[in-house]
Formats: sequence, C-alpha cells, structure tokens
Amino acid sequence: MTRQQFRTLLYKEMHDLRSNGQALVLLFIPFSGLASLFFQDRSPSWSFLIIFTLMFLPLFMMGFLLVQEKEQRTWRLLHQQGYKLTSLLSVKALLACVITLASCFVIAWLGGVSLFFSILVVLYSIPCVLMMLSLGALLGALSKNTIEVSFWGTPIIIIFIALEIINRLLSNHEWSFLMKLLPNHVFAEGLENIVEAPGAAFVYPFFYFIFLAGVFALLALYMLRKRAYTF
Amino acid sequence: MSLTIQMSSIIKGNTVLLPDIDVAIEPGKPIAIQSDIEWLEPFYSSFLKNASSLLASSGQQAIQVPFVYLQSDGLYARLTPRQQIRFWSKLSGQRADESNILEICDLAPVADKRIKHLTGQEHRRLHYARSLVMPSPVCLFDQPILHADRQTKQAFFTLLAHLSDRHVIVTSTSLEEAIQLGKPYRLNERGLHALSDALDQADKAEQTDQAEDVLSQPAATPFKLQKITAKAEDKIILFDPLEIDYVESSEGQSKLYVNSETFDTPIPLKELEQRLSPLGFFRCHRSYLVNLQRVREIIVWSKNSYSLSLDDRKRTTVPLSKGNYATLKEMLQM
Repeated sequence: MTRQQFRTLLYKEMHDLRSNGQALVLLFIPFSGLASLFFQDRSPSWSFLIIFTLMFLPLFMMGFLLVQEKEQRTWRLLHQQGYKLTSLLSVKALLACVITLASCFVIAWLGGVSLFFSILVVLYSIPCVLMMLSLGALLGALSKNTIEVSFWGTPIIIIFIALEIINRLLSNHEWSFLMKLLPNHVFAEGLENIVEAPGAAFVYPFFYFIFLAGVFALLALYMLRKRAYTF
Repeated sequence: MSLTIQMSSIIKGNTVLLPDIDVAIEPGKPIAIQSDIEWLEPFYSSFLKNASSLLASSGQQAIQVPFVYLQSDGLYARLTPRQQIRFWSKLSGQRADESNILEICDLAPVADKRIKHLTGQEHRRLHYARSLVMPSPVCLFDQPILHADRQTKQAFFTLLAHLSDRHVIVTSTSLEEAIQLGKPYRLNERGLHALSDALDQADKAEQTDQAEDVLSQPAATPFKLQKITAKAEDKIILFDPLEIDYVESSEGQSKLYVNSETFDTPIPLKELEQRLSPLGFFRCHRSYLVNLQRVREIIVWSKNSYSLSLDDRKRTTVPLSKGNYATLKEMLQM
C-alpha cells in the first residue's frame, strides 16, 4: 500500500465515520459519563471513566469498522486495487486508536488532571488501546455483521466487569496476590500512580500491557488471515 | 489494437468447471458472453485471479488493474455518489470529471444523496460510473442490465459509447441481452464460441421459411417472429428457440427445458416440431423434441435402447427411439 492509497482510505474512513451512528453512540457514552462529573455530587472519578472508555470504545469501534467492509461487500474492489487486509486493518485501527486516545485525553483533562499528566495518561493508555483494538479486530474477523459484533462483544465487556468485581471483593483475601495479575487491576494501579509516581506506571503496568497487546495482535492477525475469505 | 484473452481450462474430478478460453476483443466492440451462472462464476474468478497474465501480447503493456463489475459488489452506504466517485478516482490515482460522469450515468439529481437512500437501479448506475473513473484498458461487466429498468439500460448503452477505446466484456444469462450488448458468444463445456454462425444459420432458415410462406400465402404478414411462448405464474415468457435445450410432452402438456429450468407452453409438441425443425430441432422420441446443437453424445444402451446426452452440466439424457435413431444417423451422415 502506497502512502497515497493509505491517505485515500483514511480520508474515506473519516468521511464515513462522520455519519456512522454506531460510532457516534459509542462516543456519546463516555462523554455523558464525563458530563456527570460536573452535574452530580457522587459522580465517577476520571480514572473510572478512562477504564470504562478503554473497555468498550476501541473494542466495538474496531469491530464495527472492520465488519462493515464485509457487510457492504466493498473489500473485493480494494483487494483488486492492491490493498491487503493488514493495510485495511492498520487504517481502521489508526482511526479508532486516535479517537479513543483523544477521548481519554479529554476525560482526563476535564476531570481535573493537568495538561502534562493528561498527555502521560494518553501515552500510558496506548498499549491497552492496542490490546483492545486487537480484540476488536478479532471480533470483526469472526463476525458476519454489526449485530454479531455487538452480540459477541458484550460478553467480553461482562468478563472485564466480572474481573473487576472479583478484584474488589477479594482484595483482602489471602489469594489476593493472584488478583494483581489481572489486567484491570494492573491498569488501574498504573493509572493511579501516574500523577504521583509516573515512573512506576511506565515500568511494570506499561510493559505488562505491551506484552498483552503483542499477544492479542498476533492472534488477531492470525485469525484475520484465516478468515480472509469472509471479506 | 485487438486484445487476446486466454484462459486454461479448470477441471475438478470429472467435471469441467471452465473450458479453455481464447478470444480476441477489439476496442469499442464489446463481446457479450451468454452462459448460465454455473459457467460464469468460474469465469469471473479465473479472470480476477489471472488478470495480469490473461492478456497475450497484442502489443499491450502488462495490464493495469482491469475494471470488474460483479453483481455482488457493494458501495459505501454512508457516502454520496459524488464522494464515492472521488474516492474511486483517488484510489486509481486519476483525476475524474465528476459532473460529467454523474451526467453520463444519470446520477446528477442524486449526486449528494447518501448511497443508502438510493434505489437499486441507482446503485447499479453508480457501479457503471466506476468504469469511467478507472483507466483500465479492459472492462468486465457481470450481467449489467439484468432486471434493469429502461433508464438504467439507456445509461449503460451511453456508457458503452463512452468506452469506445476500451476492451469490453459483458456477460449475460440471456441470449437476447447478449445480442443487444455486443458480439454474442456462448460459454459452455465446449468452450467459448461465437454465436454469429449459429444465428446466421437460424436467420437463413427463417428467411427460407418466410420465402416459402410468402410463396404459399401472398397476403400473409411479411414479418415472422420466431418466439416460443411459455407461462410462468402470471407472466408469459417469450423464448428464443436457440435457448431451448429440449421439449417434453407429458400428459398432453408440452414443457420447455431452458437452462435447467422447466416452463409449460400451450403449444402442442406437433406444432413445436413444425416450427422448430428448421432451426435444428429433432423429434427424437414421440414425447421429445431436442435441440441438436445441445446434443453431446448418442448413447447406445442396447440394440433397441438409445439416449441422447446433452452438453449441460447435469448431462441430461433424452430418450431416442429406435426408428428415430436411424433417421438421426442419416441426418448426421453417420
């Protein structure tokens, strides 16, 4: 894929996204949570909103963007023009990644974090976003349409919520050290450290998510190649 | 400068999926391939797979990406036709005159309407527009006017006029459409054959028939239409005789077999025999009338039992009676 082709596809995706109802609804959810920071006394913290956003926004957005190519039967022409599925994936991932990170920045900044630390929050979130984008790509590769993406994506969100509940309930249990290995625990710990000890956040939690992102990215690429015929 | 398309046969087990194809195409003179969908699908996939090596020399540089429109191709529903055309032109690295293209394809009134709100016919015309955006020297259209309305057909014929410098291949399942669209060819197990010869023979037979009619009935109508009518639900279908594989008479009802489909016709077998014999049909059995152009094999089961095997994919067999076997042998000078 040439730079011109990449730009063409990116430009088209941006045009498409402006009127993509599903993407707009996905964006509305974290920002409505953000609004509650200003209008309610017992509102969720900015870190909770970031975790919540990272949990579903890249996952569903990536899944939807990818599966739409199947639904609209537009891949054949792109393929004929020399595009590869990995090129398509990279364009869509870039767009979903930028939107998610921009949302995280706005949430952190409007949530009271300084500009510098908001940028650090964005940098810290990158591996986690990549992991969720890979999961979204996996979802897109395995689904036939957007309904299936929603259908199979919801259990993933439920699993993350369940892990968080387990984490909170068993925090004082003798087996609680095992909970520290869970991704949600690691991410939350890093996010809490960002303002006070940014160095600590960028050591274990950051590399933990780089490793997970690598594993899921390989899995997504493998599955995408295997399911290339469905496009 | 003519262009030669060569494809090797594809055989799976004992079934020929695609025969050898070797056809020359002149720019501005579209060829129209008539076949059933079972043959056309392997043709498309072979065409797409071997696009770069398809074209034998003909002084052409290695082909750029050929333009291919398949019935299954989709569009980006949230874009407008103008945005879609812009996207295609950027994709192919060409500058396109959007307004002119929209005008040619009769899409100007809906140029800024989202594609999801367009009708199926407008979708199709937008696909036609892609051929004007992309600079490919070869254009393949998959059944472009199948179930198309008059406006869309008109737009397609206007488009063909604008593609006068390209090598155009059009496919169709209907012989009539193929004749309308370009130089007709038929794709079947035996390969890709120009239909001009068969049509010439049919024309001659028709002319002879008409001449005889004029001699015997001077006051008869000067125009004789060779169409065989059949009923399908609430419609009456007019078949070109050459489309018919064979006719069967069962319990007093004549049935036409066309491309693996069956249609009831009110015309008795005897009358069909009279009308179709000059066009190469043969009464092989008291209940069957077969198009000899479709017969592939004569199977001799025993001294008194014969069948005719047709060249369709199912290898349909039609009974051949002993008396008619002798007549057929004489006809074929066996």
